[in-house]
Amino acid sequence: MSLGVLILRGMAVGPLLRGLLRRQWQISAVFAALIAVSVGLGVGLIAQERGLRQGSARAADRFDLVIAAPGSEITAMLATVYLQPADVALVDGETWGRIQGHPKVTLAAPLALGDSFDGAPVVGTTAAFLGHLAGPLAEGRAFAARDEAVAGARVPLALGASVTPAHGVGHGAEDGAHKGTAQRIVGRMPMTGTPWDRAIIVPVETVWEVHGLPDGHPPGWTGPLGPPFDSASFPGTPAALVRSDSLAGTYGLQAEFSDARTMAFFPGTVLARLHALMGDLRQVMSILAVLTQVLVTAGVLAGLMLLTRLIGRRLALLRALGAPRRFVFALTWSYALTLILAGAALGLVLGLGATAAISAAITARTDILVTSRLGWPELHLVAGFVSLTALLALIPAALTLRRNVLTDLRG
Amino acid sequence: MTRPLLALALASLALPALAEEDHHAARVGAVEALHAWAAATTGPEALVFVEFANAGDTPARLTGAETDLADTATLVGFAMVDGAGRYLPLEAVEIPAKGRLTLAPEAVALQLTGLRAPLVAGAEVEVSWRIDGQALPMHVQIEPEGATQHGHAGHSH
Repeated sequence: MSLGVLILRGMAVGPLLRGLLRRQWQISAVFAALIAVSVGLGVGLIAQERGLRQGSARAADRFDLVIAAPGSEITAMLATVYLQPADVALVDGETWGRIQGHPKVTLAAPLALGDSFDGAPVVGTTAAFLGHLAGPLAEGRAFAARDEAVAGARVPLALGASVTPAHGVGHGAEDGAHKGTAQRIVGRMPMTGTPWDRAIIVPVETVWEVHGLPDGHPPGWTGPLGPPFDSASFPGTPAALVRSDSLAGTYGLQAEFSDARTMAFFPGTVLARLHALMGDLRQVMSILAVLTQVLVTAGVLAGLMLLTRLIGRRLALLRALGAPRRFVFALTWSYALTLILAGAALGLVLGLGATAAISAAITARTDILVTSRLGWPELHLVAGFVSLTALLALIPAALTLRRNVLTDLRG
Repeated sequence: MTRPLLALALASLALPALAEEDHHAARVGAVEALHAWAAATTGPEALVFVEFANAGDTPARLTGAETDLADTATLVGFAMVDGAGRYLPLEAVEIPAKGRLTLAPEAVALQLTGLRAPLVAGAEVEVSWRIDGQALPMHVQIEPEGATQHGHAGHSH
């Protein structure tokens, strides 16, 4: 800013600058477009990375504490939060009894994973977990019987539709394995922006039952669905989602259930550690983005030097008419700066458009709601770029002063 | 004659190891604290981490710590709020009976604000944990800036 004030002080370059831009509009447009594309790519890349990071973390927001059998926290997190198929050991009935009966536990929900319907994961859990995950349903009601189910917001099934889950997920799913059982969709969750939007949620008792396992209740049980589950009739769960009345209580539970029989983890913590590992990558991306932009601008400024050679006769005429050297310098520099500013502004718009398009594509592929907006990091990136290239633009401006007026006038 | 000499020699070899362990461990009641550490910083804030083991039959209550290093020392817990990680204040956390509580990055930590001097890598400072109303003073090892674990990580005492 102060550089601009210093260079342009007392110089009314406006009318001549406008004339120059008008006369050279085609080449000016090409130069500005080149800068815009490089700025747009850089801005889009940074905003997209942040959007994906925040989107994946937001998907884990409702998963306070996950208790699973000892193993990989990442595998268990991918299975529970992102519903990625995984072979994990089960939490047994005795452990479930400890979790369920713990005075600090306000919500404990088993998650039974592994079945699917037409590509959509079918997850067995409790109605209380449904309410915790998504709040009030968008349509219908929660399941109240073993043959009822609730669909995620993106499941293309209407209320009343009937589904027979296949055993397994993907190509290996066995369609006829659960023949004779059917669940009727009685409710639909609102959009959560997580892979659970593609899931069909059924009572956990149904999943256990169709697999020929005890259903979590004592034999002859005629009570309502859901907890409390009987430890002796509990067939095991890959993971349990657990909540406490406070963050301190949840950390206390984590400490208590991190032992030889169970691992207890916060999916948010696992994600934050993964994101921290990628922190260096983010910095490298930012540096690469700036470097690309500076390289493109250097190319544009080199082109500008050729242009000043082309308009050398006019500049020489100006000098011959008595224009001071500083005026010609200011005119050339402000021409370059105009291209840089126009390119940067257009690049921000392009970056915004690119991020919106890529976010939509990622959301469609992963079901993780990615909302990328331009934030301070992008504006800082562009501000840094403009400052650096405004300095670089001093070079072609200075070179115009070295040209011989008489030679240029003769053409 | 040679046996007592040999025993003495072996004991003298073991002494530095014992001293080191004493330096990095502290105990109050049934609770032992191991390897307190923080990352070096010149900023106004720092997080202190440690590992507690409770050998008792009842849970112990960690309510915070006192230190001359900073204006305030607050027990905090990491939580994801709308896709962003934050440390939120905690009143107390239980160390389970016959169990462990690990204060670590992106988990429970002691947050120091208004640091009175920079934390320099390699230096040692002191904090006094408050457990069940009792003070548990111990040394905190300052690890290099950006460290994510203490220098003895993976080393079992």
